[in-house]
Parts: sequence; structure tokens; C-alpha cells
Amino acid sequence: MLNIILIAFCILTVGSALWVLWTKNVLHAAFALLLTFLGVAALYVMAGADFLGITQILVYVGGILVLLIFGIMLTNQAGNKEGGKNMILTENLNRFWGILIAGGFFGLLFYTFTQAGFQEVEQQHFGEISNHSSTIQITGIQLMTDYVLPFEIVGVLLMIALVGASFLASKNE
Amino acid sequence: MNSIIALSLFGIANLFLGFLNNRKILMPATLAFILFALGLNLADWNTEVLWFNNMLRTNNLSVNFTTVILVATLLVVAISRGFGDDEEHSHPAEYYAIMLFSVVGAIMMVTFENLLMLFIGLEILSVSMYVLTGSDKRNLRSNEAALKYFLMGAFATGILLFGVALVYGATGSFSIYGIGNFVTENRMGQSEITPMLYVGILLIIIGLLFKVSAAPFHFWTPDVYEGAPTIFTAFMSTVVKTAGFAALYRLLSVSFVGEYGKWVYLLYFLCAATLIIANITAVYQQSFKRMMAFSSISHAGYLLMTVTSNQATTQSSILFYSLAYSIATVTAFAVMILVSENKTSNGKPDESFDAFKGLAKNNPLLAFALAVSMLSLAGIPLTAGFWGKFFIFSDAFKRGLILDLIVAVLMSAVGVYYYFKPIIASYMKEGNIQEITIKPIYKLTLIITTILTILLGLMPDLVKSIF
Amino acid sequence: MYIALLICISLVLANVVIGVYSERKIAAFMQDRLGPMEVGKFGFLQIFADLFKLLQKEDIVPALADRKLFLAAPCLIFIAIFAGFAVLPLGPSEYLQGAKVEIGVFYLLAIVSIDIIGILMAGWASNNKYSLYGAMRSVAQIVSYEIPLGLSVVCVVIICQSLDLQEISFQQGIFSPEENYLFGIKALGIDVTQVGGIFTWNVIRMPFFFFLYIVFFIATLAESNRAPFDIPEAESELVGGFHTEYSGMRWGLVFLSEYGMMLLVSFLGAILFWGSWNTPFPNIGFVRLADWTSGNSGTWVGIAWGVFWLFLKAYMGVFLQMWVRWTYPRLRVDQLMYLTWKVLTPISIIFIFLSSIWRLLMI
Repeated sequence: MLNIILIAFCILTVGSALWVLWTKNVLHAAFALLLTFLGVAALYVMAGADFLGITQILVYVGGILVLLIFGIMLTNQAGNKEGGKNMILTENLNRFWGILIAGGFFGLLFYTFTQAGFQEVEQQHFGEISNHSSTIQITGIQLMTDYVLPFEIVGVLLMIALVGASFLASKNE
Repeated sequence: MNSIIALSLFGIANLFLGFLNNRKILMPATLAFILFALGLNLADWNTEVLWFNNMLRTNNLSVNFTTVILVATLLVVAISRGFGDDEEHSHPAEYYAIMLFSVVGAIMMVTFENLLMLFIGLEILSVSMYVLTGSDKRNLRSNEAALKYFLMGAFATGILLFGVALVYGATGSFSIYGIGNFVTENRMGQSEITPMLYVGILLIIIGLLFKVSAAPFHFWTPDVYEGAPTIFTAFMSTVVKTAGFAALYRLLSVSFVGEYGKWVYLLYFLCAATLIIANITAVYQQSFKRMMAFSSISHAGYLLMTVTSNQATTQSSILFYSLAYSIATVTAFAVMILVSENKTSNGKPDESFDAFKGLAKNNPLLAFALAVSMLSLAGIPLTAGFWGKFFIFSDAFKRGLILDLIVAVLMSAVGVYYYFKPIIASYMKEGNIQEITIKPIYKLTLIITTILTILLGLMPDLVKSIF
Repeated sequence: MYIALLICISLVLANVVIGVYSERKIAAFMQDRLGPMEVGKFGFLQIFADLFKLLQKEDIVPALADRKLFLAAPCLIFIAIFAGFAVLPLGPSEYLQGAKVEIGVFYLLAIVSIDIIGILMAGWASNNKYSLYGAMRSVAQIVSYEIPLGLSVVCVVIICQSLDLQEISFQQGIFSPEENYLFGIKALGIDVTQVGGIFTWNVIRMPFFFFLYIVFFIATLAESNRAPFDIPEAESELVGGFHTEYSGMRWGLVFLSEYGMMLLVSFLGAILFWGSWNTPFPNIGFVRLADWTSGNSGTWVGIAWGVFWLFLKAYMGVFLQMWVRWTYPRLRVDQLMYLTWKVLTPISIIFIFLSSIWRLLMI
């Protein structure tokens, strides 16, 4: 049962990612990305990282994807209104190099992961992974103890992003 | 660590200072902030502290690198004229605040002990650079540069992060010493190393080389350097480069030193490629700023050479070279800002070599400072740059990187050609540049940097013995 | 799990029927008129008449619309809202909660945000400027109001130390595994664990939560695009907002989701603040009101009482939303943004601070 669900989510993720690649309609690509994100979130959950999965949905779907779609919708699309339809079409360019680079990278990672011996690595470095039903408590405690410095210092990063964004987006007086 | 906390707070303080109507107070305040941070930093001399569960490490090496970064920032801020002049269109409080924040990132990159801190530091530095690059909002080139830099930089960060994840998967540690121990133990033959580690190292190196603009990941550099406001180009080419190389060096010499035999080939060839591409292309440039961009790439090549050689003296070589290079670059850009703003073509600042024609006639100080900085960048004896190159070449010689050495010597000769272009223009060509009025602090900075360059050229041991 | 699924799906479907009827009757009552009276006694069959009309209507797709997206959008909106019901505990029984997950409320907030994508999809695919305007406004509003909403939920989580809605529910009544003190302050020393009732609800455990609930309530109104935050579908400006072009059952789905969202956030409010499925009556001395109105944990009677109280509270929330709708005028866009960024968000941040301090008093 679980295997079937896993395979279904894999197909969803990969299929929608291919759809993102092949469709010429930019907005269709953006909405297909939604399915990819959801599929990845589901895979995270199935791998036991429930907090990560939900965060993936919250950040990528609720934040980044909305930003992306807004960006597409609000940018200038003169010449895309053929026949009254509002389709934002693009060309698929540089197919050869794109496929070559992506394929090469895929091959590299595929080789790496098949050779990785994850179970060995797990026993060697990560010890017994506790069979806790949720990772959230561990994550929270770790964030507030061992990883408190990165957690706090990310504030500086957000501060810059905020100041920078409001500064760049403000009107030229 | 203390300087990180202080600078974060000062950045916020700077934003609040922006509310005041008096813009004149901003620059002295920023200078004071940086000097204070420098003091805090130097107070850590000869202490070895690990902060917050092995996140950062303060030791003499990190203090040295932080000092170089802070000195470069200090010089850049001191020549940041212009912010307050154009009342309507500049936002000096934001510029200074973002600069201070970005220095926080740079310091994290030289003190990190945990790869997470490296990543966050790199992001802080990069994001502030994207903003500063695009800060001239009315200039299309600046916008384009910011967008290019952002897209490329984000991609590089992604690659770096992927590499970090793979290395973590392979070694089970984020700490650079933890990774280092794992790698050395495995070299002893306790267990086999998975290819995951190698791919991880490769991706991390690619990500960092992107940030320090080494070939073949240098394509963004000329456009971004040219498009960004000159003052931020100076900042970018000094602080980002120093921090990037410090991070690369720490990572390679501590974590991955056990695999030296593997990654050395990669860097060996990339170093030669960087030197050749940068120097040959620089010869054909007509714009001074673009030439400086390629010069920055070529210096990345020299620095890469000493990282590749991985000798005991490498860290002091990097430090000395970064310092010499930073001082000379800031001087060159300082002169260029004055000259190009004085002489405009088509309403825009003239950034070509022609702008320097006849500079020496009425502005001997500017011409002299420019000449000294160019000589230092070219590596002519009696300047700091010479010793920088000398130390690096001797490191490479000790390791026996013959190909790199030959290329580097040849390319230094090529470098002399294009670095002499502005000198020839300012001393030998006829031109009509009137006397340029310089603010006292600006003049002082130019004098100090020029003296420093010559002093370090005469007595490199002054600094080299400390490093 | 499957029981909860069946209950939830029938609940969402029944809810729209009840919702529409009660909305019209409440509106009529507030405006001093009768509302639907023709079909059936008190117009009670009106809803079925409406339903039949909706089902029969032709499902029109505009010629120039982006057909695929246009057809998919309402389903996406409905799925997003309906997925939120998965973690709601409908009563004190493990069969009445779809998924027993530790990250319940976090999941709920995340999955509901997918609904934004559906709205954008609908607005864009309609190829109609009013739809697009409506979608843009709606998304800007929902994204902004998610911040005070999330922050106010965080306050409750700080007090309860759990994201699991069932666990939060258990804490607020006589079945609580931990000891409850009056106003949550241990130093007072008044143990109210066995008193139960309203004294163990979160609004009493942390007395400031009543004001936080107001923030939460306003944010949820905006999340579900209800008046006075209904600028996305302002009839006088935008015809119908993002669903202008929809008709037939697809329009019905959009409608279903809107009422589903109202119910979902009312449930959430009741669970987080108003004691979930716990009775409001306390045990006073030998008058064991709480025991009498809660039954025994795990028995049919206990479950029935729990379901009764929770539904009562949730529909009180729905009633409140309708009440507000017919009382306040619509906000302007700038007022809307002012309210969330400069009023609600700072207030909820202050509440996080207060809750953290309160939590220290509780242990």
C-alpha cells in the first residue's frame, strides 16, 4: 500500500516537473510547479520528515509560487494576446545544451546516489534514528540550543532583504 | 563574534540615523562604527574561542582576515563621497546600513566553523551586494547588472548548498573539523569514501569559485562591475573577494585536505585558465572600469594559485595579497570616481582610459596615487603588489605547480601592459583636466593608501610577520 | 480515519445548505424583513430549490478562457479547503479525527494557503479583467492576513505546547492530562483541573486571549473573503470577483469552498480558544455540571456531548461571521492593508511576547 502511494507521488512529482519543462505556456508551467512542490512535500512526509514537508508547502506554495505567478501576471506581455486569449507563450530554446547539461547532471547524481550506500552511511554517522512519530520537537529544541546562532543571524539576512527590497521597489522620487 | 554583534547593531543604528535630517553625520558615524568594530576585533588577538556550539571560531587567522576586511570597508566608506550630495536620489543611510550588514556576512565567512554559518554568511554578503549593485535605480545598466548578478548568484548559492548537503550526507557532519577528521580517517583506510563526498566537494568548490569570479564562472563579473555604482564596485572587488578566498582556503585546507590529491587537479587547471582568460581579455578593454573587472578576475587567478599550492605559508600569502590588492584597488577606484565624474561624455561619467589624459598636469596627487596603485596591481617592485605576487609564486614553486607558475609569470607581463595604459594616459598624453577639488578626508585616504602601498613594498615584513 | 472523512465530506456539503439558508434568514432578521418564505414552511425548501437550479445549470466555459485552468481551478480551491478538515478533531474520539498528526495546526495553515493558487488560477483563466482584479485583490489580502492569523495561532501553541489539535482540546477540560490552574497561574494555587468547564478554556487560562481572539477572528474573516473584507468580490465594483465567469456546478464548488472555509476557521477558533469539545459548565461543589454535560471519556455519550459542544461553538462562530457581514461596511484596499500590517501584526507580536511570559507563569 505504502509502496503504491510512494510510486504515485514519484510519478506526480516527475510528471509535473516534465510538464513544467515541455509546456510553452508560462502560466501552465507555474501551475504545474504547484504539483511538483506538493509531490516533493509528500515525499518528504513519507521519508519521515513531516515538519519539512509542511514547511515546503508553506514556503514554496504559499510564498514563492504566488510571487512567481504574480511576477508573470504583472510583467509586460504585449504581443501575447493573440486572438484575444491571454496566453503567455515562450519558445523552448537551446534544447540540445539544456538536455545535455541536465542529463549529465542527472547521470552524475544518479551514479553518486547509487554508489552512496545510504544504510551504511546512516549507521556510520547518524547513529540510531529515533522512531519518534514527529520531528517537530527535536527540530524546535535543536533550533533553540545547538543552532541558535544561525537561527538568530538569519535575522540579519532577512533585514537586508527587507531593507533592500523596499529600497529597490520604492518609487524614484 | 563581538564584531559581528556590534556591526549588526550598528547597521540598525545607521538605519535610524537616516531619520535625522542631517545627512552629514552618516559618514563619520559609519567610520566610527567600523573603527569600533575593528577595535573589538583586534581585542581578540591571541585568543582561541569557539562560539555557540562550534559555530564560529575566533583565532589569529580569523582576526587577521577580519582586519583586512574591515580596513577595506573603512577605505571604501572613506571615499564614499557623493552619497550626500545628490539630495533627492540617494539614500545614504540605507547604503551604509547594508554595507555594515554585508560586512557581518563577510566576517562570518572568515570565522565559520560550521558549514551552515558559511552558507548564511555568504547569503548575507551576496544579497547585500545584489541590492547595492542595483542601487542606482535610474541607470539601466545598474539594473541589468543587479539582475544578472542576482540570477547568477542565486544559482551559485544553490549549487553550493547542494554540495553542502551531499558532504553532510557523506560525512555526517557540518563542522569543518568534523569533515576533516572523517576524510583523513578514511584515507587511513578505515572505510571507503562514497562518491557523494567527491561530488559534494566539487559542487562546493564550483559555488565558491562563482562568488570569487574565477574562470569559467566569471561571466557575470565584467557586466556587474561595470554596471554597479563605482563605489560599490570597489567594495565588491575587495571585501567579497577577500572573504570568498578566506572561506575557500579554510574549507580546502581544513576539511578536504585529506583529498588534496583529488581536487588539486581541478584547481590547477582552473587557475591557469582564469589567468589566461582574464589577462588576455583585459588587454582589449577600452573602459577603465571594465579593465578593473578583468584585473579582479586575474587576481582571483593568482589567489587561486596559492590556495592550490596549499603550503603552510598559504594563509599569510592570501592575507598579504588581499591586503595589497584591496588597498591598490580602492585607490584606483577612488581616483577613477573623481576623474570620471569631473569629465562626462554624453551626460554620463566617462570611464574610458581617455578620461585620464593629462591628469598629472594639474592634479599631481591623483596621478601619483593612480600610478602607484597601478604599479602595485601590476606587481612592480617597490610596491606592495610585488611582494604579494612574490609570496604566491614562492608558494607555488615549493609545491611545484610548474604550469601555473609559467602561465602566471607570462600573464604578469601581459598585466604590465594594460596597467600602464592609465599611467601613460595621465602622464604622457595631452589633456585638459582642470584641478579637481578634493575633500580633506578623501585626500587623506588617498595619501594613506599610497603611502601604505609603498611602505608595504619597501618593508613587507611589517605585516607579513604578523600574519 | 474513513469515518472522519465521511463525516467531513457530508458536513461540508450540508454546511452550504445550512449556511445559505441561515445567512438569508439572519440577513432578513437584521434588516427587519422576512427573507425566503415561498417554498415550504418558512421558506425551508428554498435551499433545495436553489440546489436543483445549480445542478441543472449549464457549465459554461468562455470561448477565450484558458480551458484547462478554468476547469481545474474550482476543484483546486475546494480540495485545498477540504484538506484542512483532515486534522480537525470533531469530538473526543480518535475516530473523529482524520489524521492524528503532531503538526496538525501547522499543516492546516499550510494546506489552506494552496487555495490562493486556485483563486489566482480561476481569475487568470477567466480572461476577464474583473476576475483578474478580484483574484489579485483576494490574494494580496489572504497573503497579508495570513501573518496575524499565523501569529495568533502561535500564541495558542505557546500556551498549549502542542500543535496537535486533539491534544490542545484535551488540555482544555476535565479530561486534561496536566493540571490546570485558574488563569493558568500556578502561583495562585487554585487547581481547576477537576472544576473544568469554562475555567479550563484557553480564553480563561490566558485571560488576554479574548483580545487575541478578536485579532484571530478578523484575520479569519479576511482569509475567507467575508464582508467587511470582501473587496475581492465587491459586487458594486467587480461584478463577482474571481468567480465572475463561473456558472453551474463549478460556481457551486467555489461557493461550497467559501462556506467550507467559514466553517473551518470557526472550528479552528473554537478549538484554539473556546475550549474545543469541552463543556462550558464547571463542577461547583456537588453540582457536577461538567461531569453531567461531558459524559465519560471514550463512551458514546461522551462522544455525543463532545460533538454537540464543538458544533455548537463552531456554528456560533459562523453566526458571528454572518452578523458582522450585515453590520459593517466594506473596507477600502488601503484601509485593509493598513489594518493588517500596522495594527493586527504588531498586536499579535505583542501577544506572542505576553503568551511567552504567561507560559513561564504556568509551569
